[in-house]
Amino acid sequence: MEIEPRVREILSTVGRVPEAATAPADADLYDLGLSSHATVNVILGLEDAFDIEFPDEQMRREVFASVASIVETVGSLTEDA
Amino acid sequence: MTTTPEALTAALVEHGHQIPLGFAGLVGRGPEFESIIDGIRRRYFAAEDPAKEIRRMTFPPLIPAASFLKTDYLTNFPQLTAQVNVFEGQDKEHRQLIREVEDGEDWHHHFTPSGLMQVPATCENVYPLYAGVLEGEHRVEASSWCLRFEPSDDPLRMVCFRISEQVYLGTEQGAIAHRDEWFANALAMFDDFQLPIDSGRASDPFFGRAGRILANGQLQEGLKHEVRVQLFEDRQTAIASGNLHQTHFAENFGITRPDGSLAHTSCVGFGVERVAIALLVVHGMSTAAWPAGVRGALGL
Repeated sequence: MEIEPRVREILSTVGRVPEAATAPADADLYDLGLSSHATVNVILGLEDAFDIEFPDEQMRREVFASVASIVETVGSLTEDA
Repeated sequence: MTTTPEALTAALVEHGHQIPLGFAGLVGRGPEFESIIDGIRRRYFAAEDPAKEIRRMTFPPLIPAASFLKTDYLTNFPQLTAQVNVFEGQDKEHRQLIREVEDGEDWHHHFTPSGLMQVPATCENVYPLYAGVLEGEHRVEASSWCLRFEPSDDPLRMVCFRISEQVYLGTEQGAIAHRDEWFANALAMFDDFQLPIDSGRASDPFFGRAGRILANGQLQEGLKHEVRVQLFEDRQTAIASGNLHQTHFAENFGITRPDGSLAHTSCVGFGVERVAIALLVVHGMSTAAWPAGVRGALGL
Protein backbone atom coordinates (compact mmCIF):
# COMPACT_ATOMS: atom_id res chain seq x y z
CA MET A 1 0.00 0.00 0.00
CA GLU A 2 1.24 3.51 -0.87
CA ILE A 3 1.82 5.12 2.48
CA GLU A 4 1.61 8.84 1.71
CA PRO A 5 -1.83 9.02 0.00
CA ARG A 6 -3.36 6.94 2.79
CA VAL A 7 -1.75 9.15 5.46
CA ARG A 8 -3.09 12.27 3.74
CA GLU A 9 -6.55 10.74 3.52
CA ILE A 10 -6.60 9.86 7.23
CA LEU A 11 -5.38 13.35 8.16
CA SER A 12 -8.05 15.07 6.10
CA THR A 13 -10.94 12.87 7.23
CA VAL A 14 -10.26 11.52 10.72
CA GLY A 15 -7.92 14.41 11.57
CA ARG A 16 -10.34 17.00 10.20
CA VAL A 17 -7.57 18.86 8.34
CA PRO A 18 -8.85 19.04 4.73
CA GLU A 19 -5.72 20.95 3.66
CA ALA A 20 -3.62 17.89 4.53
CA ALA A 21 -4.74 16.33 1.24
CA THR A 22 -2.64 18.78 -0.78
CA ALA A 23 -0.34 20.59 1.70
CA PRO A 24 3.46 20.32 1.29
CA ALA A 25 4.79 17.22 3.05
CA ASP A 26 6.75 19.33 5.51
CA ALA A 27 3.89 21.75 6.36
CA ASP A 28 3.12 22.03 10.09
CA LEU A 29 -0.16 20.17 10.58
CA TYR A 30 -0.83 21.89 13.91
CA ASP A 31 -0.66 25.24 12.10
CA LEU A 32 -3.18 23.83 9.63
CA GLY A 33 -5.57 23.13 12.51
CA LEU A 34 -4.76 19.62 13.72
CA SER A 35 -5.91 19.51 17.36
CA SER A 36 -4.50 17.30 20.09
CA HIS A 37 -7.77 15.37 20.27
CA ALA A 38 -7.84 14.85 16.50
CA THR A 39 -4.23 13.64 16.68
CA VAL A 40 -5.35 10.77 18.89
CA ASN A 41 -7.94 9.77 16.28
CA VAL A 42 -5.30 10.03 13.55
CA ILE A 43 -3.02 7.70 15.54
CA LEU A 44 -5.78 5.13 15.94
CA GLY A 45 -6.70 5.50 12.25
CA LEU A 46 -3.09 4.96 11.15
CA GLU A 47 -2.69 1.93 13.40
CA ASP A 48 -5.84 0.35 11.91
CA ALA A 49 -4.99 1.24 8.31
CA PHE A 50 -1.40 -0.05 8.38
CA ASP A 51 -1.84 -2.73 11.04
CA ILE A 52 0.91 -1.21 13.15
CA GLU A 53 1.28 -0.06 16.74
CA PHE A 54 3.18 3.11 17.53
CA PRO A 55 5.68 2.43 20.32
CA ASP A 56 5.44 4.68 23.38
CA GLU A 57 8.52 6.69 22.43
CA GLN A 58 6.78 7.72 19.19
CA MET A 59 3.76 9.10 21.05
CA ARG A 60 5.02 12.65 20.72
CA ARG A 61 3.48 15.67 19.05
CA GLU A 62 6.54 16.15 16.80
CA VAL A 63 6.07 12.73 15.19
CA PHE A 64 2.62 13.76 13.96
CA ALA A 65 3.52 17.35 13.07
CA SER A 66 3.91 16.82 9.29
CA VAL A 67 2.94 14.42 6.52
CA ALA A 68 6.65 13.71 5.95
CA SER A 69 7.28 12.79 9.57
CA ILE A 70 4.22 10.53 9.73
CA VAL A 71 5.12 8.80 6.45
CA GLU A 72 8.68 8.19 7.67
CA THR A 73 7.50 6.79 11.02
CA VAL A 74 4.81 4.60 9.46
CA GLY A 75 7.36 3.41 6.89
CA SER A 76 9.82 2.32 9.57
CA LEU A 77 7.08 0.51 11.49
CA THR A 78 5.73 -1.33 8.45
CA GLU A 79 9.29 -2.46 7.56
CA ASP A 80 9.60 -3.96 11.03
CA ALA A 81 6.36 -5.85 10.65
CA MET B 1 6.58 16.62 58.16
CA THR B 2 5.64 13.77 55.85
CA THR B 3 3.37 10.97 56.95
CA THR B 4 2.08 7.73 55.44
CA PRO B 5 -1.39 7.07 54.02
CA GLU B 6 -2.06 4.58 56.83
CA ALA B 7 -0.91 6.90 59.64
CA LEU B 8 -2.79 9.85 58.13
CA THR B 9 -6.02 7.85 57.79
CA ALA B 10 -5.73 6.69 61.41
CA ALA B 11 -5.14 10.26 62.66
CA LEU B 12 -8.07 11.68 60.63
CA VAL B 13 -10.40 9.00 61.96
CA GLU B 14 -9.18 9.34 65.55
CA HIS B 15 -9.81 13.10 65.55
CA GLY B 16 -13.27 12.78 64.03
CA HIS B 17 -12.33 14.37 60.69
CA GLN B 18 -12.98 11.22 58.71
CA ILE B 19 -15.75 8.62 59.05
CA PRO B 20 -15.02 5.43 57.10
CA LEU B 21 -18.04 4.16 55.16
CA GLY B 22 -16.75 0.71 54.26
CA PHE B 23 -15.56 1.48 50.73
CA ALA B 24 -12.08 2.69 49.78
CA GLY B 25 -12.15 6.41 49.06
CA LEU B 26 -15.67 6.97 50.41
CA VAL B 27 -15.82 8.78 53.77
CA GLY B 28 -17.97 11.05 55.91
CA ARG B 29 -16.65 14.19 57.60
CA GLY B 30 -16.94 15.67 61.09
CA PRO B 31 -17.92 19.26 62.05
CA GLU B 32 -14.38 20.56 62.65
CA PHE B 33 -13.37 19.33 59.19
CA GLU B 34 -16.40 21.06 57.66
CA SER B 35 -15.45 24.33 59.37
CA ILE B 36 -12.06 24.10 57.60
CA ILE B 37 -13.83 23.44 54.26
CA ASP B 38 -16.04 26.51 54.76
CA GLY B 39 -13.00 28.61 55.71
CA ILE B 40 -11.02 27.58 52.64
CA ARG B 41 -13.86 28.48 50.26
CA ARG B 42 -14.47 31.79 52.06
CA ARG B 43 -10.78 32.72 51.83
CA TYR B 44 -10.50 31.78 48.15
CA PHE B 45 -13.66 33.56 47.04
CA ALA B 46 -12.70 36.65 49.08
CA ALA B 47 -10.17 37.38 46.32
CA GLU B 48 -13.00 38.08 43.86
CA ASP B 49 -12.75 41.55 42.32
CA PRO B 50 -16.00 43.42 43.18
CA ALA B 51 -15.62 45.39 39.95
CA LYS B 52 -16.10 42.22 37.89
CA GLU B 53 -19.48 40.55 37.59
CA ILE B 54 -19.22 36.97 38.86
CA ARG B 55 -22.17 34.56 38.82
CA ARG B 56 -22.23 32.15 41.76
CA MET B 57 -23.40 28.61 41.11
CA THR B 58 -23.62 25.46 43.22
CA PHE B 59 -24.17 22.17 41.42
CA PRO B 60 -25.21 18.61 42.28
CA PRO B 61 -22.69 15.78 41.73
CA LEU B 62 -24.55 14.80 38.53
CA ILE B 63 -24.60 15.97 34.91
CA PRO B 64 -26.96 15.06 32.04
CA ALA B 65 -25.29 12.42 29.87
CA ALA B 66 -25.74 14.53 26.72
CA SER B 67 -23.71 17.36 28.26
CA PHE B 68 -21.16 14.96 29.69
CA LEU B 69 -20.47 13.39 26.28
CA LYS B 70 -19.76 16.82 24.79
CA THR B 71 -16.94 17.39 27.30
CA ASP B 72 -14.91 14.50 25.74
CA TYR B 73 -14.31 13.20 29.27
CA LEU B 74 -15.38 9.72 28.19
CA THR B 75 -12.77 9.78 25.42
CA ASN B 76 -10.04 11.06 27.70
CA PHE B 77 -10.74 9.47 31.09
CA PRO B 78 -13.05 6.43 30.74
CA GLN B 79 -11.24 4.88 33.71
CA LEU B 80 -12.63 7.55 36.06
CA THR B 81 -16.16 7.71 34.63
CA ALA B 82 -19.32 6.53 36.38
CA GLN B 83 -22.95 6.58 35.28
CA VAL B 84 -26.14 6.43 37.32
CA ASN B 85 -28.31 3.37 36.73
CA VAL B 86 -31.88 3.11 37.96
CA PHE B 87 -34.70 0.59 38.39
CA GLU B 88 -37.67 1.29 36.12
CA GLY B 89 -39.51 -2.06 36.26
CA GLN B 90 -43.00 -2.94 37.46
CA ASP B 91 -44.24 -5.25 40.24
CA LYS B 92 -43.23 -8.46 38.52
CA GLU B 93 -39.68 -7.37 37.87
CA HIS B 94 -39.46 -5.89 41.36
CA ARG B 95 -40.33 -9.25 42.92
CA GLN B 96 -37.74 -10.90 40.74
CA LEU B 97 -35.16 -8.29 41.74
CA ILE B 98 -35.76 -8.79 45.46
CA ARG B 99 -35.68 -12.56 45.06
CA GLU B 100 -32.33 -12.35 43.31
CA VAL B 101 -30.95 -10.06 46.02
CA GLU B 102 -32.14 -12.45 48.74
CA ASP B 103 -30.72 -15.46 46.91
CA GLY B 104 -27.36 -13.72 46.51
CA GLU B 105 -27.66 -13.73 42.72
CA ASP B 106 -26.57 -11.02 40.31
CA TRP B 107 -29.42 -8.47 40.41
CA HIS B 108 -27.73 -5.55 38.64
CA HIS B 109 -29.22 -6.41 35.23
CA HIS B 110 -32.52 -4.93 36.48
CA PHE B 111 -30.92 -1.48 36.44
CA THR B 112 -30.68 0.64 33.31
CA PRO B 113 -28.92 3.93 32.46
CA SER B 114 -30.82 6.96 33.78
CA GLY B 115 -29.37 9.53 31.40
CA LEU B 116 -27.31 10.93 34.26
CA MET B 117 -23.58 10.71 34.77
CA GLN B 118 -21.56 11.47 37.89
CA VAL B 119 -19.80 14.78 37.36
CA PRO B 120 -16.00 14.48 37.54
CA ALA B 121 -15.21 18.22 37.43
CA THR B 122 -17.42 21.05 38.63
CA CYS B 123 -17.06 23.31 35.58
CA GLU B 124 -18.54 20.67 33.23
CA ASN B 125 -21.99 21.84 34.33
CA VAL B 126 -21.11 25.47 33.47
CA TYR B 127 -20.31 25.26 29.73
CA PRO B 128 -23.71 23.95 28.51
CA LEU B 129 -25.33 27.03 30.10
CA TYR B 130 -23.43 29.29 27.71
CA ALA B 131 -24.16 27.51 24.41
CA GLY B 132 -24.83 30.14 21.76
CA VAL B 133 -23.42 33.59 21.14
CA LEU B 134 -21.46 34.98 24.08
CA GLU B 135 -21.68 38.73 24.60
CA GLY B 136 -18.60 40.00 26.43
CA GLU B 137 -16.78 38.09 29.14
CA HIS B 138 -18.38 35.80 31.71
CA ARG B 139 -17.06 34.69 35.07
CA VAL B 140 -18.55 31.97 37.25
CA GLU B 141 -17.75 30.95 40.81
CA ALA B 142 -18.75 27.29 40.96
CA SER B 143 -18.77 24.59 43.61
CA SER B 144 -20.01 21.00 43.61
CA TRP B 145 -19.43 17.48 44.76
CA CYS B 146 -17.55 15.44 42.16
CA LEU B 147 -16.95 11.76 41.55
CA ARG B 148 -13.93 10.10 40.01
CA PHE B 149 -13.87 6.36 40.36
CA GLU B 150 -10.40 5.59 41.63
CA PRO B 151 -10.87 3.79 44.97
CA SER B 152 -7.71 4.04 47.04
CA ASP B 153 -6.46 3.78 50.60
CA ASP B 154 -4.68 7.11 50.10
CA PRO B 155 -6.87 9.52 52.12
CA LEU B 156 -6.05 12.27 49.59
CA ARG B 157 -7.58 10.21 46.77
CA MET B 158 -11.32 10.16 47.41
CA VAL B 159 -14.00 8.68 45.15
CA CYS B 160 -16.32 11.55 46.06
CA PHE B 161 -15.02 15.01 46.93
CA ARG B 162 -15.65 18.73 46.46
CA ILE B 163 -14.18 21.13 43.92
CA SER B 164 -14.47 24.91 43.96
CA GLU B 165 -13.57 26.82 40.83
CA GLN B 166 -13.38 30.14 39.10
CA VAL B 167 -14.45 29.68 35.48
CA TYR B 168 -14.04 32.12 32.60
CA LEU B 169 -15.64 32.30 29.14
CA GLY B 170 -14.66 34.96 26.63
CA THR B 171 -11.56 35.90 24.67
CA GLU B 172 -8.21 34.12 24.35
CA GLN B 173 -6.34 36.90 26.19
CA GLY B 174 -9.08 37.03 28.83
CA ALA B 175 -8.87 33.27 29.40
CA ILE B 176 -5.10 33.43 29.91
CA ALA B 177 -5.36 36.48 32.20
CA HIS B 178 -8.08 34.74 34.25
CA ARG B 179 -5.98 31.60 34.64
CA ASP B 180 -2.93 33.63 35.69
CA GLU B 181 -4.91 35.85 38.08
CA TRP B 182 -6.68 33.03 39.88
CA PHE B 183 -3.63 30.79 39.93
CA ALA B 184 -1.79 33.66 41.68
CA ASN B 185 -4.76 34.04 44.05
CA ALA B 186 -4.53 30.33 44.88
CA LEU B 187 -0.78 30.60 45.55
CA ALA B 188 -1.38 33.61 47.84
CA MET B 189 -4.04 31.64 49.71
CA PHE B 190 -1.71 28.68 50.25
CA ASP B 191 0.91 31.15 51.45
CA ASP B 192 -1.62 32.50 54.01
CA PHE B 193 -2.29 28.90 55.03
CA GLN B 194 1.47 28.41 55.54
CA LEU B 195 1.45 25.29 53.36
CA PRO B 196 4.78 24.22 51.81
CA ILE B 197 3.84 24.03 48.14
CA ASP B 198 5.42 23.66 44.77
CA SER B 199 3.88 24.60 41.43
CA GLY B 200 4.53 24.01 37.77
CA ARG B 201 3.29 22.58 34.49
CA ALA B 202 1.35 19.34 34.66
CA SER B 203 -0.70 16.95 32.56
CA ASP B 204 -3.94 15.06 33.17
CA PRO B 205 -4.06 11.22 33.38
CA PHE B 206 -5.36 10.74 29.82
CA PHE B 207 -6.38 7.15 29.16
CA GLY B 208 -4.44 4.65 27.13
CA ARG B 209 -1.45 4.77 24.83
CA ALA B 210 -2.86 7.46 22.58
CA GLY B 211 -3.57 9.51 25.69
CA ARG B 212 0.16 10.04 26.06
CA ILE B 213 0.10 12.37 23.10
CA LEU B 214 -2.60 14.46 24.78
CA ALA B 215 -0.61 14.56 28.01
CA ASN B 216 2.59 15.52 26.16
CA GLY B 217 0.78 18.23 24.19
CA GLN B 218 -0.76 19.63 27.38
CA LEU B 219 2.69 19.77 29.00
CA GLN B 220 4.42 21.30 25.99
CA GLU B 221 1.81 24.01 25.55
CA GLY B 222 1.66 24.74 29.30
CA LEU B 223 -2.13 24.33 29.30
CA LYS B 224 -2.25 22.97 32.86
CA HIS B 225 -0.52 24.46 35.88
CA GLU B 226 -0.71 22.62 39.15
CA VAL B 227 -0.08 23.37 42.82
CA ARG B 228 1.36 20.39 44.66
CA VAL B 229 2.01 19.57 48.26
CA GLN B 230 4.25 16.82 49.61
CA LEU B 231 2.56 15.01 52.46
CA PHE B 232 4.03 11.56 51.82
CA GLU B 233 7.70 10.66 51.47
CA ASP B 234 7.31 9.09 48.04
CA ARG B 235 4.93 11.40 46.18
CA GLN B 236 3.46 14.82 45.76
CA THR B 237 -0.27 15.44 45.53
CA ALA B 238 -1.96 18.08 43.39
CA ILE B 239 -4.25 20.36 45.41
CA ALA B 240 -5.15 22.97 42.80
CA SER B 241 -4.85 23.53 39.07
CA GLY B 242 -5.28 26.25 36.49
CA ASN B 243 -6.39 25.09 33.05
CA LEU B 244 -6.53 26.69 29.62
CA HIS B 245 -9.06 24.83 27.46
CA GLN B 246 -8.42 27.00 24.40
CA THR B 247 -11.54 26.49 22.21
CA HIS B 248 -12.13 22.86 23.22
CA PHE B 249 -15.33 23.34 25.24
CA ALA B 250 -16.52 26.24 23.08
CA GLU B 251 -16.30 24.04 19.98
CA ASN B 252 -18.07 21.08 21.59
CA PHE B 253 -20.83 23.15 23.23
CA GLY B 254 -21.20 25.71 20.43
CA ILE B 255 -20.10 28.81 22.33
CA THR B 256 -19.18 31.60 19.90
CA ARG B 257 -18.27 35.25 20.14
CA PRO B 258 -20.30 37.96 18.35
CA ASP B 259 -17.76 37.95 15.46
CA GLY B 260 -18.46 34.25 14.88
CA SER B 261 -15.15 32.98 16.28
CA LEU B 262 -15.08 30.33 19.00
CA ALA B 263 -14.86 31.50 22.60
CA HIS B 264 -11.96 30.55 24.86
CA THR B 265 -12.48 29.17 28.35
CA SER B 266 -10.28 28.62 31.37
CA CYS B 267 -10.71 27.58 34.98
CA VAL B 268 -8.78 27.52 38.23
CA GLY B 269 -10.02 25.10 40.83
CA PHE B 270 -8.96 23.18 43.86
CA GLY B 271 -9.88 20.00 45.67
CA VAL B 272 -11.31 21.38 48.88
CA GLU B 273 -10.82 18.24 51.03
CA ARG B 274 -7.22 17.89 49.86
CA VAL B 275 -6.43 21.42 51.02
CA ALA B 276 -8.13 20.75 54.37
CA ILE B 277 -6.18 17.52 54.85
CA ALA B 278 -2.91 19.26 53.94
CA LEU B 279 -3.66 21.87 56.63
CA LEU B 280 -4.32 19.11 59.18
CA VAL B 281 -1.06 17.34 58.33
CA VAL B 282 1.05 20.49 58.37
CA HIS B 283 -0.48 22.27 61.40
CA GLY B 284 -1.83 19.38 63.45
CA MET B 285 -5.10 17.52 63.88
CA SER B 286 -6.71 20.13 66.16
CA THR B 287 -7.54 23.51 64.58
CA ALA B 288 -7.47 25.16 68.03
CA ALA B 289 -3.68 24.69 68.09
CA TRP B 290 -3.06 26.09 64.58
CA PRO B 291 -0.99 29.28 64.12
CA ALA B 292 -3.08 32.43 64.66
CA GLY B 293 -2.35 33.63 61.11
CA VAL B 294 -3.71 30.44 59.58
CA ARG B 295 -6.79 30.47 61.79
CA GLY B 296 -7.34 34.11 60.87
CA ALA B 297 -7.08 33.41 57.13
CA LEU B 298 -9.70 30.68 57.52
CA GLY B 299 -11.96 32.76 59.75
CA LEU B 300 -11.79 30.07 62.45
